[in-house]
Amino acid sequence: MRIKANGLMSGATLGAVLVSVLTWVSPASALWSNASAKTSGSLNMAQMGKTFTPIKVGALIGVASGAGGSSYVSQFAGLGTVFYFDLANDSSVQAGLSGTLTATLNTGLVVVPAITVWRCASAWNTTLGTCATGATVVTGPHSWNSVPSFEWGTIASGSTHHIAVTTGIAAANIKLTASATPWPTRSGIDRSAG
Amino acid sequence: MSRKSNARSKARNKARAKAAANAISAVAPVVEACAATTGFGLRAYRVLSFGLGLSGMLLLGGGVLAAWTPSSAMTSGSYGAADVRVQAVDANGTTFSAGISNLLPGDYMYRYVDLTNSGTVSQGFTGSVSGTGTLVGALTVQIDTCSVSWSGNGTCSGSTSSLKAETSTASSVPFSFPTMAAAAVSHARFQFKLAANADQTTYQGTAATMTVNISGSSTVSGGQDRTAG
Repeated sequence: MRIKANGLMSGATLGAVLVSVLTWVSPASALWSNASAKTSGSLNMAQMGKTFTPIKVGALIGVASGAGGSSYVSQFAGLGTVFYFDLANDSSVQAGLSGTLTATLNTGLVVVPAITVWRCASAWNTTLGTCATGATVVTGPHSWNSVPSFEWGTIASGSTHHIAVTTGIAAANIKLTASATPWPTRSGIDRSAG
Repeated sequence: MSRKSNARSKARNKARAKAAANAISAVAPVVEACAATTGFGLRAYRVLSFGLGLSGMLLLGGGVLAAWTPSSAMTSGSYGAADVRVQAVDANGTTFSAGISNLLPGDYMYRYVDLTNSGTVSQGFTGSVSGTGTLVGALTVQIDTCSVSWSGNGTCSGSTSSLKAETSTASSVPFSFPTMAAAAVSHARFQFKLAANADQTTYQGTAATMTVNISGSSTVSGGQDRTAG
């Protein structure tokens, strides 16, 4: 420290002392710290979906038209009674599929006025109208204009149900519309293991 | 003093003078050589010769004058700066970095982490849970600790403490641990849950990645008298 002859510190000296004091006080009051981090893998929510694919309208004679996708809409004019289509579970998880089905008789005559929905584990023989693995009834028979809501059944992710809808023997213009809503068959479970 | 003793003293002095003369004679050639090469005068040579002779007598008659210097040394023990560290490792068979797909509303998962104060001083720990991705808006987190290691089925045989009640991760979730002594371990359990009312239209097929940051900080600052240890 430099002190002037009159006993007073010069400004520069005083400043140096203050800077020195500040420099030492600051680190003495600091808290040391360290950190660690954990990052999860990707957590994905399931996705639900389904697809209708028209296969054939099992007609003895007639002309069919229609489309699939999120629902099934098909119309048949002629003599025939069976609509074939596939219903696939496009969900990333197993799903149950709730369904509705409506039939409209535009013109003509229905000899056996009933709606029945069938399921085959394998593809239908649409020529003979047979199921090699044994067909099961999904719902029906129901009246033409009052098919209640029903369940297409539980379908594993990526799997397909092969459906046939019989409408009785008709010589008519029949429009059939089917829909399905997939829903997960489980929820609220411990997924810690994956 | 007796005559005999005086005689001995004279003899001793005579011997010393002779030794000094011998010493001068020994260095005389060197000095003369120097005088010849440097132009040093004869008078100077004689003065120098006399000085050397006197010095020789003092050395032989007076002994060596030594300066004694006492000293002492003190060495401190080791002064170690504090080490502030934190270590978080997966526990109870779960892996934090493992992802999970196909979560459905209400699904949940546990991730266990043992937090160790691996430093040398007490620390307080604070942390935050934050995430990226659309699904963070439908996830919740709950944090609990167990006084002992969690068991494999997720139960705690000791006492549990809640660090954070179930909270949405839509925004960063802060939490803190109690102060932990050096080497102490806290057994934490993080539960992530997809809200039971998660909107399918908004969230199905979406993903999120969650990150837990934990920061330890020494609970005492410097500037203390550590004389006692």
